[in-house]
Amino acid sequence: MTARLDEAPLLQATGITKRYGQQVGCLAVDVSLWSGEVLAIVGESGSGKTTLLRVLAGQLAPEAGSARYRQADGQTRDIYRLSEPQRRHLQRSEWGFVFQTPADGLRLNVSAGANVGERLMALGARHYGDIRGSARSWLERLEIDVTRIDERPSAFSGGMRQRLQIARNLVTGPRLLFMDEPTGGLDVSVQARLLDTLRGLVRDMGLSVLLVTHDLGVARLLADRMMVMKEGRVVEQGLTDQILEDPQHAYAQLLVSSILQA
Amino acid sequence: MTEQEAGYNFAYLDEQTKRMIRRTLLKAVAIPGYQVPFASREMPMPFGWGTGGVQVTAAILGPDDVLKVIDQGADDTTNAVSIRGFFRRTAGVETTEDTEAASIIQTRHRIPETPLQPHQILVYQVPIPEPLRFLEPRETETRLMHALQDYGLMHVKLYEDIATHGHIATTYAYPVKVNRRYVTDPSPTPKFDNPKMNRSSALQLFGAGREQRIYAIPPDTEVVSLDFEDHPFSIQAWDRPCALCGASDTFLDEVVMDNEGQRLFVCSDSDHCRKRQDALQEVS
Amino acid sequence: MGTIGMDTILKVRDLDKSFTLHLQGGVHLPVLSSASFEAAAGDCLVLGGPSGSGKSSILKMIYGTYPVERGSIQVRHGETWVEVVGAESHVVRALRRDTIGYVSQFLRVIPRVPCLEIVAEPLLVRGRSRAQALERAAELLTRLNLPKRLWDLPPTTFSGGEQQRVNIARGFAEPVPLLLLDEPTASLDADNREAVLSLIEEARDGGAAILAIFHDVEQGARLAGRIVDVRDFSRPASRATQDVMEPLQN
Repeated sequence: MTARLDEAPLLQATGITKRYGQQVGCLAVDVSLWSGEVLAIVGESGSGKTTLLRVLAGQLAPEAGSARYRQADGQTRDIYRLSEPQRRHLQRSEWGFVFQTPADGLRLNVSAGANVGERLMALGARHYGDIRGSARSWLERLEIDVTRIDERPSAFSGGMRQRLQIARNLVTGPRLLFMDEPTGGLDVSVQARLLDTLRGLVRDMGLSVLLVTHDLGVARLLADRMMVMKEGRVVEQGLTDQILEDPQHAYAQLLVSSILQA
Repeated sequence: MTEQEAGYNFAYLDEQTKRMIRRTLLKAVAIPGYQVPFASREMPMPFGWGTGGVQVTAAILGPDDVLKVIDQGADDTTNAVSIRGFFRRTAGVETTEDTEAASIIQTRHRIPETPLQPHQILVYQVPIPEPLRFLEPRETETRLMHALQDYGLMHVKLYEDIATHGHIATTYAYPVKVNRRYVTDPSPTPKFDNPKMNRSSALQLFGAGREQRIYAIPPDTEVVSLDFEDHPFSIQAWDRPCALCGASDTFLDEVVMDNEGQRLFVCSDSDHCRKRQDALQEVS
Repeated sequence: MGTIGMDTILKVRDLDKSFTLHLQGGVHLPVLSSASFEAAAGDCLVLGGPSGSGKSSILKMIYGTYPVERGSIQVRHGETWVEVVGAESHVVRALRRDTIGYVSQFLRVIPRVPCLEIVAEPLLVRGRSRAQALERAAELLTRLNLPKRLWDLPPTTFSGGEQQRVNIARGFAEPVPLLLLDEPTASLDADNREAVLSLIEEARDGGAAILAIFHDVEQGARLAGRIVDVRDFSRPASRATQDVMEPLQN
């Protein structure tokens, strides 16, 4: 699963800048993500991490910068130069995006099975039995009670909704998953279980993940590498254990020392 | 041919409006199944009474046209009668109940049983032109879905039907894919009529007055009803033939005869039924 | 220094390391200066020296956990030599996956994951089947005398010695050419220490290069081909430095 030493990154973004009027989102940020790697972008509120994620996921256009992504077919494209249909297709087939609030990434008025099957149908799947079968197996994989396949997510708990959102994203076998605080807002024990599940899935599916979190504990559990952001800039990046055990930058040291030890 | 009443422009609409609608129609024909916005006019009937269909007919009507108007398949229902009268008065055109004799047929909720010919035009009255509307209320989103051919949601609806009812429960306004590109609402015709839309020899025009959209299906265009491989599209069937003409391949209306629950099934297409009855009479 | 043989696996040259504690007013703590040594397949190097002298730091620099101020750490990865200092993260990950193993002093506990899974994980990462991975994990835990009833439990509630054994089992799950061990027998009783030492001997005899820190000098002596005294590379440090370093290294 790990990249060969000389392999090019799966996603390489340079000089990403996005502002909101006077507010700085992110400034001249470079990000590289290799195949099979989990990169956590950490920082406090207002650090620009969510803006960066949304720009890299093609949801927002940056003012400056480029992001080159190596598609499954081997071609490398600058995602901001793609047409809208091309980008959407990429987002639907090779990428996934998990929102912090599951409702933002689900259709609450449609059954769980339909939620999971939608992407397949959007990509042309036309066999009801197969679609339903895929939906069932993904619900199982995310440890959602399969008998609830025809229920609407409006009846699900927060943790279940989040699992459903993840299932909905993974059903098309994406290569790159963007996650915005995937366990934020969940109870601690629910969080822990979900993180377990995510670890296993990332490993088994060889997923590459760009994860935004303010919780260093989540980063420690999931991420191979971390980028620390402050006020729109990256102040330090490196392997997770390096950042957590020997942070170099003053702000990174502050952040790490603030983790409450269990 | 009746006299056109004085004081009206031919077919009621002014020439500039007709021109605007014709331009819209050209665009619609050029992009089969695509909903083209148009500046729908105030007509002398309220929205919801077929103003879209009336405006399309008014824009294409010529003095030599022969107009048929049906509502739920029948020529003699109130709306059909009113609209036919409207065009007789404002355009002085010949009207007919005979499908084969008509050059323009305006319809609400049915397609005539008799296959149409290349010189004929079928004008549909459409209440809600957007097939995705009930799933996605935002116009901004549905436009994007059409533009990007992002029709997953449409199949989600069909999936939900099967999950809930065991089969696709939609029986009218059944969505179709036109020319392999746009998903379109055929108007509230029964799904029984969908196959007639496929590769019809006639030009099919759709007008939605309140929603201000016009769309079109040119002759000989592929129109396919959406379905799943393992739940294929199927049309309605009855367990008995028409009580009046004996047809077993037409869409039947159920008519309640009395208070004891006596029911009669008769062809909804009144012209087609009458012709068949006449043919039977001649034989006997 | 020793000859550079065909089976040299590790070359450490002129390593400098210090810490800057921004949260304590930017206190600068030098730890190591010009550390140099080599290791070859089948070597067992024991890093000797008092607490705070930088032994753990050396292991962590080789593993890529601690950034290096100055110097070079070269590791033979398959057929090529790779420079660890300044290497890109994905390079270090590749090294960790296939070439360098590390058993830290303390088990990083992942909540809720049973210890059998924890031990099996490196095998799964390497692409072994689930069945194979669990089998190997069971084998190691048995060897380290961890009672079967504990295998399906997360190690959160285990004793120090039990956690340490899970840690070691994980470290020895897959053979690697270079194995870094930080106090592998620290919390263990005599029997378990014996089990660990024999695991280490086996790895060494299997061709791995071992770099280890032992709390108890005697254990180190039993295994050691060589002792590298880290005091040779220590910056002239005061006791004060050592006092600050101890808690940092835990």
